[in-house]
This record gives sequence, structure tokens and C-alpha cells, in this order.
Amino acid sequence: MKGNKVAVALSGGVDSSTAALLLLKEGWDVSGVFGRFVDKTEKQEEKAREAASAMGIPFYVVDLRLEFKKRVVEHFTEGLKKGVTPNPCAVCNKNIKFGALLKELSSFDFFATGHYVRKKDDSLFIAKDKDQSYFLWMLKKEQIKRSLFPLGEMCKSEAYRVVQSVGIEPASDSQELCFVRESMLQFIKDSIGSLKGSIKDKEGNVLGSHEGAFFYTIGQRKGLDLPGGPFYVIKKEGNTVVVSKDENDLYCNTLELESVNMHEEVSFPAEVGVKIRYNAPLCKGVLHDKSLTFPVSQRAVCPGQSAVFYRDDKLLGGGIIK
Amino acid sequence: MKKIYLDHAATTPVKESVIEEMQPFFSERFGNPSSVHRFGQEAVMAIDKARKKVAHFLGAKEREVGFTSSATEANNLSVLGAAGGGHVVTSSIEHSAVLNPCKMSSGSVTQVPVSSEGVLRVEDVLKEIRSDTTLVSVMYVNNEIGTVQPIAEIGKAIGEINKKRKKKILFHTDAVQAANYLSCDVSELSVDLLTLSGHKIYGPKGVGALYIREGVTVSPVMYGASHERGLHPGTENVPAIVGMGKAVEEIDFRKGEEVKRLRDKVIDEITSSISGVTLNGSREKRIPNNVNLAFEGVEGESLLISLDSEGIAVSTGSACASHSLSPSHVLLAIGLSDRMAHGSLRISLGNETTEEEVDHLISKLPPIIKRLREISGR
Repeated sequence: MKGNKVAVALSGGVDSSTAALLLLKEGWDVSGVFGRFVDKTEKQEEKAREAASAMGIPFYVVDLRLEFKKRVVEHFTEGLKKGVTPNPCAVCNKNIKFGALLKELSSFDFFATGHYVRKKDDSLFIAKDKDQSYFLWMLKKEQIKRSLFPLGEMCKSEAYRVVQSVGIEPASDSQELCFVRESMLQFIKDSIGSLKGSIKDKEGNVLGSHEGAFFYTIGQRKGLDLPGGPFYVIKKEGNTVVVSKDENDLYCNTLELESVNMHEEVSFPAEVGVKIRYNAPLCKGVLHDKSLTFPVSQRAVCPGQSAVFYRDDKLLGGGIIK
Repeated sequence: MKKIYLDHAATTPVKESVIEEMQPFFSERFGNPSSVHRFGQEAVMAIDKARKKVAHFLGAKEREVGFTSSATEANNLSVLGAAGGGHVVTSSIEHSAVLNPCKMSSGSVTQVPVSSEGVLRVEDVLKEIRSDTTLVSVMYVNNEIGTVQPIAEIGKAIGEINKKRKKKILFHTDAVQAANYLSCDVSELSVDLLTLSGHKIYGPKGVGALYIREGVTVSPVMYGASHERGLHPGTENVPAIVGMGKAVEEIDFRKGEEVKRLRDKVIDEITSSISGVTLNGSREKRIPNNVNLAFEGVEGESLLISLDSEGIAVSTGSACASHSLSPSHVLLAIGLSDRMAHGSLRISLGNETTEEEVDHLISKLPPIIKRLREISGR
């Protein structure tokens, strides 16, 4: 461990800088790397370089804009066009951060990121604070094997103290999708445009029209602009938005899965903890081969999003909601 | 960990003797060369001394040599200040310090393609010359693949053409990569303008020189006071100019023999110990310190990072073009595919490079290439 070479993905933010510092303190041979994924990241790159310079570590920039555009952004817009709500962060982790970037860094023994997640015996566990394991379910075992997550036992406030103690002034951590410059609405307008369609009720009666089903999310109530509301978006069928006045129509107790990726072996059916959105609380579910059932029905399940399974605090795997 | 520097085409360390020469001009003899008093006189005399050394190296008159803040500035003056908005002929493998000023020029520009060996054919240059051509600009040695261009032959041929023309064509060469090992005698080369850089010849950064043949008019590209005949307005960077003079004075072409021996060892050993490697650019018409190799199935960036973590500093393409997504225009110009261009590595030796350092590179490279090829699955 001590003296082994590790490359830390530096974003210029608090988390990744802290991750690098913790590894340095543990005696690793640390290098920083900035992955350039989108255009106009000069500010973040400068912050990352400043942090590397403050720590006195080598700093590399790897340009992956072409790969990112192809494998994350286009995947995202294709999904939106098909009427689903994809999870680009999970895809980026699999194909770009722990994919193309990790591949470029093959001369290092390990690769570390500022994700809040714990790793033990090549399994991932929910972090003490700000858990981000949800975004890592698509990783394969060999990707996890080469990775380190120094922040798993940290609180965000502790991380702040760690970096400030060495005089690093980090940029604020990203909240939105990194490739969405202005608003999501604007991004969709710019990258997909508009596609006229109708708004119907469950029975198929046309209630109104819209400029593209990709502008709507399941559970949405505001901005529907239909007389006699309020209505909820309960599903999308192709480019048709289906609405209902009855909030109960948003609830379901079973969902189909695709692209399931398991980190751990389980025998079906298995009682698991499930997250159907990053911000959703952990709920109880029963995992079958390619589906999930819930004892308590769940609100606003979005096709395309990730369903991630846990046993206690151990990440078991995940799948894409159909 | 031992640190081995094999990126001398990017920049060279400043020699001790050069630092010594520069030292007094920071605080002890800090005068402004434009001042009338003795502080100023000291500074102006130091610049004149440096100018004399550069002029001697070029076989030129002192008044034909001007100092600039970089070779880029000298190239800008040559293209924007000397071409007068006329048609410019240049090569497809030129440095961006010539290509980008060409883009900003009001006249049209023709880029002459090179052979797959990375060398221009004189006749290809000549056939692009038109009645409105005012400047031909061809680099002496390419910065990425180290190929030596037939400057003297082109210069001579332009001289012949000029005999029959009222409006003479000017000939410029960017000689920054050549100066350590090749004669830059302006009469031998028949050039009207020639660019040198301080930091490529074991001198300091932030200084360049431009030779302008007597009688040639160059307009400024920046405006201010009349320093360096108005071509480089701004107080002279006296320590750097002094350093550049010393660095030029100490150029010793004989060093090229040993460097060439080591270069050939690198080429021979690497191409025989690793499969799927090709030398980019001509081996014969090549500067003694440049190696540029294309490795099949390897991403240049990962190779660079791998070597750096072993303490070996090399580069892909040119240092100025790194961080750019598009593959090197030079490698594409000699016919490499995008993929092979992305898998290319430039190793540039220096006068202080030792056999031991070269051997270290030769032994470290094969296992790294093997590993990277395994990862990329080829």
C-alpha cells in the first residue's frame, strides 16, 4: 500500500482534493489527473492544477471529450428521445471515469476518486455521509478492484476542514450534470429540439398538446397547463404524455428491469433494500431475475433511471428501470 | 527516482555559463538601454555584444539582427510584417507560430505538402509561386519529426526566380530547431529572414531573434517606442538577450556527433525490441537529436503518463499542441492514420544526454508498450 502509485481524479472541488490529501497522508505515491470531458472547463482545470501544486504532486490532463460526447451525452439524448429518463452519471462512471480514464492510467497501481462510498474486500458500501454508491452500480468487479474511495468514512464538513487546513481553496462541487451548461430545458431544446405530440388521459382522450414528451417527467404536476387540473404525468408512451388527476396512478408495486449488473451473488427471489432515485430513501423490495416487487408501492417510478439494490449497507448491484 | 529529460525539442535547460553571463543584468547592471546615463550605456553595450554574437553565428551584419520576446514574435513579424499582404507559400508541416499568422494575413496562403518522409521537394515549392507571391516561409527543421528541409536549395531557386522579377520574393526560415546542430549561415541558406529562439539552444525563455537581410522592409506588428528599430517596441529584456548571445556563442556543432550516435541507438534498439513500431520522418534527413516513433495499438497519452511515472520525460507531437484532441497535423501530413498519429511519441535528446539515460529508456519502454497493448486488447 505505502509507496504504491495512485492517480486521483481531481475536479478542482473539495471532495477530490480531500481524497488526494488523505492518500498523501497515508503515504501513497499520489498523482493528480484532470479528465477533460466537456468544453469550457478551464476554470475547473485551473483549480485542479492549483490543488495539485499545493500538494506538490504531478498533474496530468487527459482529454476525453470525444468519448464523453459519444458514450454519455449522446446516450442521454437518445434515451430522452425514446421517452426515458437516463442516468448519465452512472454511465459516465462505467464508461468514462472508471472506463476510458482508468485505461489511460494503466501505469498506476490504483485509481482514486472523491466519491462518497466505502470499499471493503472489493465490495462497495454506503458511505457515512452524502452516499454516492447509487451512481456506481454499473461498475464491474475489475473496475472496483483498481479503485480507491478515501472519502467513505468522511463527512462533507470534515472534508472542507481537511482541504482548508493545507490552504487549498476549492471550487464548489458540481451539482448539476456537468454537460448541461444552462438549464436542462435549454439543453434539451438545443440538442433535441421539439417534437409535437399530444397529452392524453388514461382512457386515450386528447386533453392538449406539447412540444416533446422529453420535456416532461413522471410525477410532474406543474407546467401542464391543462384546464380542470391539477393533473399528474403518470407515464409516457412514445411521444404521448399520459396524465391523470388521481395521484394514486403514480404508484406501482412492481417494475421490470434491464441491463442488470450484480456486484454480489444473490439467489432470487431476494429481499433487498432498493433506491429508485438518487435522492429517494431506501425502501424494501424483493428482487427477481429481471424485476422488482415492492410490499409498499412506490411513487413516480421513471423508466430509464437506475434501481440500485442493497443488503444492509452493502451495494449488491442495480438495473435500469424499463 | 532518477529523472531523465528527453524533451529537448520542447525546451532546453539553461547552461551554467549562460546563467553566469545573465546574472549581473538583473540587479547590479539593471539599467534601461534607452537611458542616456552610464547605467543605460552598460545595458545597451551588453545588447550590442549579444547582437554581435548572433550576427557572427549567422554570418550576418549586426544591424541585420533584432531581438524579440520569442521565436513566435519573430515569425509573426516575418509573415505579417514582411509579406505585405501578398501571397505566402509555406509548408504543410509548419509550426503554428507560422501557420496561425498566415491565417491572420490578408493575403492568400498555399501550404505545400511534404513527402511521406516529411521532407519538402524544392520543385513542389517552386510550382506554387505566383506573380503575387511575396513570401516563402519554410521551417529549417520540423519540431515534431526532426526532418531537415532543403532550405539552401529553395533559397537558391528563389534567388534565380527573383532575378527575373521586379517585386522580389522574400524567403524566411524558422530555424529554432536547427540552430544547435546545423549551419545557419544566411548566405549559405540564401534567406532574407531567419528566426532563432533562446530556450531551444540552452539559453533562457522569453527571447528570440530575427535576422532581416539589409534592404528588406518589415513593418511592425506591435506599436510603441523605437526599440529594436521599432520592430519590438517595449524595453529590451536585457538579461535574456545577454543569455541568448552567450548561448549562441557556445553552440558547438561537434556535439551533434555523439547525440546522433545515441539517437541511432534509440531508434535501432526500440525498433528491434518492439514490434509494430515505425520511425516517423526520414532517418537520413533528420536533426541529430530527434526520434519520433509510431507505436501500433498504443495511445500516446497513456504512454506519456506511463513514462513520466517512471521518471522519463518525453512528449507526443509538440509541447505546444498537447491537450489538443486533433492528432498532429505534421503526422497526418506525412500520411499517418489518425490512430497511428495518436500513438506517436517524440523523444528529443540533448547535448547532456548520457548513454545510461538512453539505455534506461530502451529497457523501460518494451514492458510499458506490452502492458498498454494488452489493455487496449490488441
